Order: sequence, then structure tokens, then C-alpha cells
Amino acid sequence: MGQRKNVKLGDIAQALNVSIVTVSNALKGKKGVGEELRSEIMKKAQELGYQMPERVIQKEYESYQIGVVIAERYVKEFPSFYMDIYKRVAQEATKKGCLTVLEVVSEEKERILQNFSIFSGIPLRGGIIIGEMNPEYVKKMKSESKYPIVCVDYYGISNDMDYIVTDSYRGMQLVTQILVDAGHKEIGFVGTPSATNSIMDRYMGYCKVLQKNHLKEHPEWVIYDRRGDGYGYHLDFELPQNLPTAFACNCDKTAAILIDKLAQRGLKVPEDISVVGFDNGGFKKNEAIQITTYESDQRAMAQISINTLLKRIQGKEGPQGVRFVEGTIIPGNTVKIIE
Amino acid sequence: MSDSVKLKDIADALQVSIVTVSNALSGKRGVSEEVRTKIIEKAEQMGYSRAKYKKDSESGLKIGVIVPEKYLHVGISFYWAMYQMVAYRASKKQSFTVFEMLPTEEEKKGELPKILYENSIDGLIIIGWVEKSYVQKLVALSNVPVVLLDFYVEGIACDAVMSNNYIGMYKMTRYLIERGHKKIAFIGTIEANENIMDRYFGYRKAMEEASLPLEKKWLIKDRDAETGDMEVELPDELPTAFVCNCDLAAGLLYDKLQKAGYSIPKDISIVGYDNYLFAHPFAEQITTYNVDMEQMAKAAVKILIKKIKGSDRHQGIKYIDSSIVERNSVRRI
Repeated sequence: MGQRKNVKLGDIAQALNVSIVTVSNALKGKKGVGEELRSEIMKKAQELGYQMPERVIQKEYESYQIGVVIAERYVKEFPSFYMDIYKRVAQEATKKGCLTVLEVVSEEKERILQNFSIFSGIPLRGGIIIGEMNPEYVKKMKSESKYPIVCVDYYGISNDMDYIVTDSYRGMQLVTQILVDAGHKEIGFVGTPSATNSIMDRYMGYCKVLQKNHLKEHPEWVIYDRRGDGYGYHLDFELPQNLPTAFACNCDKTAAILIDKLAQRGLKVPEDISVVGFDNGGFKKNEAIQITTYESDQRAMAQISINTLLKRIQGKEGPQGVRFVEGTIIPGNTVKIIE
Repeated sequence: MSDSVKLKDIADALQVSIVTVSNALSGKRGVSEEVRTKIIEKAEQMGYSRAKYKKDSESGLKIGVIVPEKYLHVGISFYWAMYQMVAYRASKKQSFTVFEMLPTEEEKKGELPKILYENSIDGLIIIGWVEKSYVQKLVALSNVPVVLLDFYVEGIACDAVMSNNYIGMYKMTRYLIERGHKKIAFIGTIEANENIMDRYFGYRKAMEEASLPLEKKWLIKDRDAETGDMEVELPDELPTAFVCNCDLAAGLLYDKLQKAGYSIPKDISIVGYDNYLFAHPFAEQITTYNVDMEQMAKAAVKILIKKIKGSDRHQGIKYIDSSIVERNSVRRI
């Protein structure tokens, strides 16, 4: 047993009186070896304590190592929408025989206040960035790495990258339209548009529905819920004295805080005020209140991201810019029909 | 001899219908396993070449294409070019297209296109925005899969392939902002159709993101929302750059500016959308967003054929993003 590391293919071959090639084929799962012989070889290999070098495993399964990057602030929050996406990306990658390596990037690193370094030299074939990050960091990662990169739920305007994004713009249109269809004419928005690309897209979707339905925009009903520079993840806001009859919230977490704040004022949802949200990875307020919301299709996003990345690694087609992934409306009980 | 065996011969021999034989051999549903096996056996026995049949069944899909008349009037029509791409893509899939122009009156009256009656089409593509009620009727009565190309109507169960208007115009506006422009006007009647409205919000996103003010005087109409007749008026105070909702409007704007003695891009910068401007001097010069007609047509045909073959993939919108075509209509300031 002490000689574990020294066991070679030749040893197994000799022990069983077969050729080295046969042993190699059997262990790698290649054709041309009978099932009986294969299991015999595998058994003997185990018995002798043979370990297949990693390099061989990789090559055989055409397994690529993929680097995944997430900003620290998204990992700090709980539940974390982006860690959920990561989980799905990792699952999809495994299905395709690939391994993922995760790097959580601190704010300091993301602002490139120190020397840029990533994945400490692990050889990678592709990269995935999950969630919005400092565009400079993304640019740097792109220029420093020799492999294709796919961005998930974040997009820029570069032509040589793929961006796989939830359709925030249209999703928010759909939930806001639910309010309009329920008779609401005074609708506010909770979210800081300048904080992230997706909040801005949701805000634009909200504005479009107002425009389409000839409703006026009221700047005092656009309520900021976080820092405007994208680095904040702490949510807090103040409600104005004069309230609309309904709110569209940029995420379910914010919607939950809003519902609490309204309760403090003695206002009930949906009896007094209606609320719609936008997903936050299955975030639930409580059993009684089910927020009417739009849920992104995390699974489809993960699948499309991995498939796209593998295509690029294999040199198929060039990057295709921004790809929107549709989600679905989740009806809840936070919207009241009014006259 | 085997070449001359026809589906009908097999049908006759087994006392079943030709359709059943066809379905059985092409692997379609609606035939029991027992009958299917019998048919396949008989076909082999009689020397019917299934390889040939397979090829036959995949080829010859007949795709109906409808384009509203109102879009075929304007200059060399953008949608005619789109139709051309669809026809080409269909041919690549061994299928062919039957074209029908939809007269505005018939669209208003809700009369269904003739191809639905006279030809047994397998699927339908509608290019260019049509009234919701009309699309609804078509989808309900046509009995074949329908794909909408370059537009979408909320609340109707069919697929759509569109240019990503919102993202595209966001890119164009950012292009100007990155080159130092702060006073940027938008040209387009946003009430005219949803594509223009989405382009407007793409423009607005870029402006708000850069904290640039949206001035009412710089939201300029380019057409009558009802008739579609196009005309562009210059605002009293000119911005340094114009974002135009389509290249056609950019062409009109260019003419007006030239007439007023401005030179482009020296005095004023212009960007467009579509990458489709013909027989206009500005065509050589305009920096614009490329609507990738080829990818759009390819996607539409692909989705339609999948649906015809019985895929029950859920319906939705597929947006095709593309890139900026950089020419010479923008000055760095």
C-alpha cells in the first residue's frame, strides 16, 4: 500500500497478462475491450492502488476547466440570487463534463486598486462572470485572459463577448401592466436605476408601461432603495408622505421591505396599496403574502451560458452580443383590483 | 422496379390511408406501434426506399409569408429584403415559401389571406406589425404554427423573432455619449409602433445612465402615427447629435440639415438604426445599428420548422442582437 503512487499501467498489464494498451483503453472507458476484461482490469487497478493522472481524465472527457467570477457583495447577501445561478451553472457544467473554479472578487480587487490577478494561474479554457461588475474589471479580465468569456445577468456593449441576461426590461413591463390592468393609475417605482444595469432596465420597462398607457411619471414616486454606484447591497429607503395606489419594486427583497414600511404606517397590502416585485431567487416574504412577481428562468440562463461558452471554446461562431432570456409571471396576492 | 413503388401501393396493400402510411414512415404521431411496424415491413418488402421517403418528407415544406402592404410602399422596402432572406433560408432547409401581400383594407376588414385557403401551407410567417385582432384571428383560424418576424403582440400564443430594439438603440446612443456628445435628440414617433417606443427607451436608458437631461424639444416626430407618412422637422435649437429610430428618418433629417446649410458630421452628428438605406447619398456615410436580417430570418425559419415538426417548445420572443456599423456620420467633440 505504501507504493500506491508508483503503480504504473505496466504493472496492471503484467499482473493480468494483457497489453498496456488494453489496460489504458479499459481504464479510460474506450472501446475495444470486452466488458468482462474491463471490470477485471478495473478491479486489479483498484487492488494495486493505481490512480489515474488528472491530465488523462481531462483529456479523455474533453473536460474543460471554467473559471467563474462573482463579486463579493453578491455572495454576502442571503439568499443570494447569483450564488443560485452559480449553482446551476456548475450543475450544467458538470453535465457537460466540465469543472468550474469559483473566484469571489472583493470590492478592492474589483475596483482594481491592487494588481490584477485572477484564478492564480490555474489553466482555464473559458470564463463566466455572474452578475454586474465594474466594467473596467470585466474589460481587464477579457484582455488578460486568452479564453472566451460569457457574462451572465450583466451586459456591456462590447461586440466580442456574449451576454446572457434576464429580460428585465420586458419582465418589468409585464408586472407593471398587471397593475395598470387592475385599474391603477398612480404607480410608483422602488429601486435605484443608476445602481445597476438591470435596475435601470426594470425602471425603463416601468416607464414604458406608463408611457404606453398615457400615465404621468411622478419623480417623487421613484424611490431609491440603495447606493447609486453599484457597490452597495444594503437596502433601505424612506417613503414619501403622499403615496400612489401601487408600487412596482425592482426586486422582491425591496418589495418585502416596502410591505413592512407600509405596515408601520398602518397600510395593508393589497387592501390599501398594491405591490409587484421582480425575482430574487425565490425570496418569500411569508406564507400569507405572496408577492406578484416576475421570475427569471435561472435554469435556462445557466444552460444557455454553458452551451454558448462551450461553442466559443470549440471555435464555433463568434460572440453574439446580448441575449435576453425570458422568465415567467408568478401571480401572488399583492395586487388589488380598483375602480 | 423499387423506384416505382409509391405510398399509395403500400396503402392499398394494407387497406389503410395514404396519410397513415406517410405518418408511419416519417415517424409522426397518430399511428399505433402495431400498424407502424406492419407498414414499415410492407414497405421494405415491396422495395420502397425509405431513405428517399425521408428526404421527401423533410423537403417541400410550404411556408406562407405575409407582408402588410403598407410596408411595401416605402422606397425599396426593408421588409421585402427581409422576405428575401426568409425565402433563402427556407430553401436552405429544402422548403419553399409562398408570398402574399396583405392589402391594408383587407387587414382592416379582417379578411384572411388567400394562401390559407388555396395552398396547403405547413406554417406561416408574418413580417411587420399587423393589428392585434388580425394576428389573433390568423393564429386561431390558420391551424398551422405562426411566427411573427420583427414584431410582437402581447397576449397571443405564437413565437416572435425581433431585433433587440431596446439594446440596439442603447448601444447607438452610448456610442454618441462616448464620443463626447451631451445634447442628443431622438427622432421617431414613439406612439407609431412598439418598435419605435422600445428604441426610444434604449435611447433614454443611455441618457439617464450618463445623467444627461431629456429635453422635450428634442423628442422629435418623424411620421404620422396613423398614415405612416414620414416627415422630419428641425427643432428651433439644434443638439450636437441626433439618434434616429430608423435610417430612413436619418436620410430625411440629413436632407433637411443639408438644405439648412449644415454639414455632417462636421456640424451635426447623426446615427441611425437598421443599416438599410437605399438610393440615398447618406447611405455611404451613416453610422448605424445593424439589424441582422440574415440571423432573424434564419431563426424564424428554424423555429417555424421545429414547430411544424411538432416541437412543443414554449412560445416566446427571440431577440437578435447585432453590432454597430461604423461609417462617417459622427464627430468626436
